[in-house]
Amino acid sequence: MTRKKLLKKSILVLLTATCYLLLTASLTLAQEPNYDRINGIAKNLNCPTCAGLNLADCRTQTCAQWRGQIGDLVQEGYSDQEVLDFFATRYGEQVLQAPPKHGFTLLLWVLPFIAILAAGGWLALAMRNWANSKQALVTGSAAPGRPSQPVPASSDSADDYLQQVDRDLDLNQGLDQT
Amino acid sequence: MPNIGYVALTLALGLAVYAAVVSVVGAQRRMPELIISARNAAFGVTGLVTLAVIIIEYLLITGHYQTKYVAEVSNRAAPLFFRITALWGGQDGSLLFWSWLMSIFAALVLFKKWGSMRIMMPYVVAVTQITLAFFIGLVVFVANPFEQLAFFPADGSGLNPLLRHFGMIIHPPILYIGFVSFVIPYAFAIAALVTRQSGDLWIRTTRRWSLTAWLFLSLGLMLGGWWAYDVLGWGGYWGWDPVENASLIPWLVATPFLHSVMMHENRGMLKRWNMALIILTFSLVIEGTFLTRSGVVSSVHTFAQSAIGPLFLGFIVIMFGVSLYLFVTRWDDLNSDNELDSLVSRESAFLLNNLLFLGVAVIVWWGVHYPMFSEALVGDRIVVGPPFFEQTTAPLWAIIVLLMGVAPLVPWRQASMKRLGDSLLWPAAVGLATIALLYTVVGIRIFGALLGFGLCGFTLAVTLIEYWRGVSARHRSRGESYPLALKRLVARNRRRYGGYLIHIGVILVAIGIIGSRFYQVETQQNLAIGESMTISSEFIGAYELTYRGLREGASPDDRIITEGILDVSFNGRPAGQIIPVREFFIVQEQPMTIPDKRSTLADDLYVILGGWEGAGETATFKAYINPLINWLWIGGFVFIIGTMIAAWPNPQETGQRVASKARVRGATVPAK
Repeated sequence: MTRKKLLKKSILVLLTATCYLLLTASLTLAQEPNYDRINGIAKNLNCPTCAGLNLADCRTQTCAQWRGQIGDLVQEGYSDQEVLDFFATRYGEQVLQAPPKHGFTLLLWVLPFIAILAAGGWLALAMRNWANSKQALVTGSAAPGRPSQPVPASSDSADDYLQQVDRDLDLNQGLDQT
Repeated sequence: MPNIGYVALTLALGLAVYAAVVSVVGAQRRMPELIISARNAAFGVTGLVTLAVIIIEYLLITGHYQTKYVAEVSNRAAPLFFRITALWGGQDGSLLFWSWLMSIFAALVLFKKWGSMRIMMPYVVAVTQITLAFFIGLVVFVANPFEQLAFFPADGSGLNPLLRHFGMIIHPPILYIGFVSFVIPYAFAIAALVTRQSGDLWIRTTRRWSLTAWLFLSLGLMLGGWWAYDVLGWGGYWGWDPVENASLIPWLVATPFLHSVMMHENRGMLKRWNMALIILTFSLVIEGTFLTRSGVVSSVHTFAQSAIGPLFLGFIVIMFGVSLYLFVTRWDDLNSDNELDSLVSRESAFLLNNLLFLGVAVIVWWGVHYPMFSEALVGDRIVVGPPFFEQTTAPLWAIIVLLMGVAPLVPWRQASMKRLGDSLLWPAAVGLATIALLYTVVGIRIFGALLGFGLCGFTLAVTLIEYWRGVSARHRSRGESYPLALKRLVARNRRRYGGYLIHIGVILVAIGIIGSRFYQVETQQNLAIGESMTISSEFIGAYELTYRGLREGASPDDRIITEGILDVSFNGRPAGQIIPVREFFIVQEQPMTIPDKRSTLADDLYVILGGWEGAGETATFKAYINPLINWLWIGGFVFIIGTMIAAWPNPQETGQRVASKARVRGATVPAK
């Protein structure tokens, strides 16, 4: 082999070797995923196969693949929300742990609160009527919430006992009528 | 042998139906002989179901794999302990177990209470036996554990590896006892409706029973959480899984029931409401078991789907419908003895308590059922995960903790605002001081955590002051030493001071939940031998975990155990080793990721072995720091002690019972 040819060949070998090194280096650097970032995103997604587990805790192959996919997206520069949107678009909204707060699913979030507020309102009204009707009956006066006689001690034996406790401790100065 | 078991169950079914029918006829036609016959039949049902259970256990222990159920839930390699407990490892056996427990309680209440409520007893028999007949009927017709295979298998498929843990072994029985024992107060409530009782006799009689049922339900829930934390390896204890929720919802309705019972007994109020609550509690128990067994919700807990679903649904509809009918037609019988005196009173506090707990129950029920509605109405089956339940119930829990601190200070009938304000002053100061301390010294910044801890401080102060008032009053007036005063105080007023101890338990649980929920830290890393990973929390410190290698553990023949060994150093100082484990079950081809923990009062270091490459040159570990989590278990323990104290019979009560027993011992036949 001529010297020129030898030089060319060795440069080629060197070049190939460098390319190989760079490739493996970039692959290893890429391969070391940030597990914590992936798990943080995966916590907001549901396991596609097992019921009741989120993607971060599930140990099946499918879940591992999905977490790998999250890793790839993160590598490509997706933000957390963008990754979640990607999965929701691709697989449907049922992959999200927190159902969205819009559309039909708004009913999920809103209905129980409407029910509780309605019940609370009804209860408040019922209690006010209950108390007022008792006052009108007892005192005959038109002023609600102002009883004219002292409240007798309750029949509960424990309460009797604590009335005694209060007297012993000089806390019971006689009930105020406010 | 299996055939004897099956015949016993069929006979039991017949006897249960007989007992129910004859009991009602005997009551309606005033024929005491029929009622006695029904009672004996009820005892017979218990005996026959017990025989069936003994036989299935025998088949399980001896490994009779031709029996289909035995083949499904056990195998040759299973140790004796897991063979016995495999009774509740699958659908058929667990239904039989449920029926057995119910038959025991039905017999127990007949045995203990027969003398006390003659009028209601026949209907109590009828209700318990009808419910029993349904469950035994399910076992006989749809879920027969004695069914035989056409061939004789060499080995069974074995219990699900997830179930092979000590907690799993006591969690279902305790939970079932809690569920099933609610049939008794329910039966008494229905009997009271039918016989047009207007007093609180049915509640007084079943109060301790309801409290015990609630105790077992609470204990069952806690054991489930402990098992999930200890063995499932996802670092948490409650996943808001549909079946978990299905067992929580009856508890959420039973808790205000127990509180409202106090109002019923003290003031004769809320009669209709308490009736509604116990009917609702038991209906939700049945609905919960329907959800678990029918497969309409997807959960880690569900059994395999079968024809059981529609049958359950039918039973729920009938049961609820009949209860509702009775409730509505007897509406006027349940007039209040008293009216509400004032908006600011303990009565109002109890009503608010009801609203809050039922609010949480409505939210959880809705979240569990929403996927079904969504699928039926718009075709979208979504998953309702923990974020929904946490975000929606958190404000209600906060108000409940606050109410737990205010209500004991509000007297019955009417509170003077000035006195109430005075008694709230010190506890409020403690609550605010807690927040201030946590913000400045500890550095807590999350609003929810600060508010939560502040409320806990406030309510804890109220409850401890209640003890203090009682103890110092006894000390002053009777000269008792403080420890003796405390003992006597609690012994003389078990319901009140046991109840306060339960509240203290709840606060400790809340502290554990707030700490671990808001401040959990986790990290996952792949380590080569000798490499370290760190996990740190600003409130706890820093742990450094160094991977030393894999080791094969002592493996019994049914699984391969691999241990990952990590050296731990905490804040720079060596702190032993932590060894998470991977168990691979050979027959089921299923791995279990079992964590190892380093537990202190301040936190848990919780580590699992995710996987490894080759022979363990590199391995992946996931580590968690769970601050304050052990307060959850401590609080649970205090809670249980408090409930036991509250349920313990008072000395004067036992005296009364002995006297009344002597009076009725003369008569062996029910009067009239």
